[in-house]
Amino acid sequence: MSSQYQHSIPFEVRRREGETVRAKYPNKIPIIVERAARSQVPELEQNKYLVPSDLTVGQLFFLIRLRVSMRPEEALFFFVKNSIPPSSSPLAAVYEEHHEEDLFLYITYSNESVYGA
Amino acid sequence: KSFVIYDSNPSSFVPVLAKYENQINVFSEFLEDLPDTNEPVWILGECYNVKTEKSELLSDVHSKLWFTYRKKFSPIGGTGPSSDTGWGCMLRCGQMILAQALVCQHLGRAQMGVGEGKSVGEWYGPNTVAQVLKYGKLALFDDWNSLAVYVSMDNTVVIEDISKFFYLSWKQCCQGAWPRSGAYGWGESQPSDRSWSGRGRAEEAGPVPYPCSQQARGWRPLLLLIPLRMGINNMNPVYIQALKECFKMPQSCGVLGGKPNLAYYFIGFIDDELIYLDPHTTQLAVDSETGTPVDDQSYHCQRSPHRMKITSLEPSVALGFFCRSEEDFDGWCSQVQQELVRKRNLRLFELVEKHPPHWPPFVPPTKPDVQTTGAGDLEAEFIESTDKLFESEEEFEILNV
Repeated sequence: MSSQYQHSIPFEVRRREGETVRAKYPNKIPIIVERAARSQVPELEQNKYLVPSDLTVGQLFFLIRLRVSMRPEEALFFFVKNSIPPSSSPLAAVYEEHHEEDLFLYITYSNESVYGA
Repeated sequence: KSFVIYDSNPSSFVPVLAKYENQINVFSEFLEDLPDTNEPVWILGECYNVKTEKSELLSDVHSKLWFTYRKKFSPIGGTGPSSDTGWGCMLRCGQMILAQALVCQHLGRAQMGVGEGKSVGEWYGPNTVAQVLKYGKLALFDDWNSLAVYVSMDNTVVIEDISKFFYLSWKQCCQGAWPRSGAYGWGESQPSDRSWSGRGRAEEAGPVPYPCSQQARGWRPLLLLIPLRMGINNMNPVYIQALKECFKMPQSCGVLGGKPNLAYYFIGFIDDELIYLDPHTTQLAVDSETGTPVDDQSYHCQRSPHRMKITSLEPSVALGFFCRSEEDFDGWCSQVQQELVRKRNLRLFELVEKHPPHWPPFVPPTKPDVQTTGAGDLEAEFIESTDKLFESEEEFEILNV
């Protein structure tokens, strides 16, 4: 996984910030949401989110869908480490299993591929 | 059995009499090409042994309707292209999955046009084609008992929403608009024995006036399309097994997808290879007047079945399932629960009973024009209301839901 956020900010800084927000907001989860490198979806204005830990994956995805102004008819796909997180899972569970060492959970979003040749 | 299917270029319609028949031909070319293996071959829910059932297998593949690029059709919109070579492959695959659903139903006339905000010549993805099939110029909604197309959002299939198809059709039936044949009423067909029947359709719909047959009460055969992305840039191999399971289901209606840039219609697999129909051949448009029977030879692929490694699959696909009846759909649901959903971290999609409360209300597609307006309104409203749920602190955006 190539995270622009990880590339642009040194690990120590990210880790320190992760620890700080975890301590300050124990019931919220720090998440970095980024667009997949080659995808055609709109860029999010904001990539760093603090999300209630009982929010489900599906709820977060729908909020992101609205943030990038994509209609329900438009395909939007989300990944945690190249896998599809189950939409009914609470984010706390996904965080527990998949957060990085900097204490952030990284989510990548992409759209469908188009075909023609 | 014959039925009329409207092939299109994709905006004008060429009627084709597609003869769906189980003809056993000599497939010498095919025989050499298939690997000599003990692995079972799965073609849309049917299992074949290559060594003992070659002719049945090849006959099955050959019988599938094959749509390709066409040239020299009347220019789209009068002045547009007269061939879809180079851009229409995903639309052709969409036609194939639709045709397959109609073949399953042994009925139907389908028309397809371009849509979903795309212009002629643009490239399509699996979800967009699924939406075209749902909202586009399908002309399937004219017939009360014709195909209902459901396209899932965010990897989630909502049973309650699909049930609304039944309800609406049932209501139409019992308002007397449609013919009834006095078979059994669906309230009588032992609903308590079926795991997915407790969905409250009877309560929603009110008392049953008198028994309607399953058809008359409006079960509409369902084409269920599930757009997915099985990895960011490449197919994540953890999903290979789940994808194979889809082809084994009796309701399998194939998969829209492809290699980078090349759309294929996948109909099955053998070992670690997918079997597909390839639209990348340009054939002459079939010239005919509306309603005139046309030779269907160019609508069946005569050559040996195409195969490719599953690992080369472009991750963006749409799974297709066809549910002929309510029982069929119930069966699909329980199989999905067992096979896909149970494997919690390897699941391809989610099957839920209730409409997620944070989603906009589900509106079953009716007429394309009506639906398009409705969806736009909903979106505006929801964006406005969620803005209030965000507050900013330092560099983070804090979600309070």
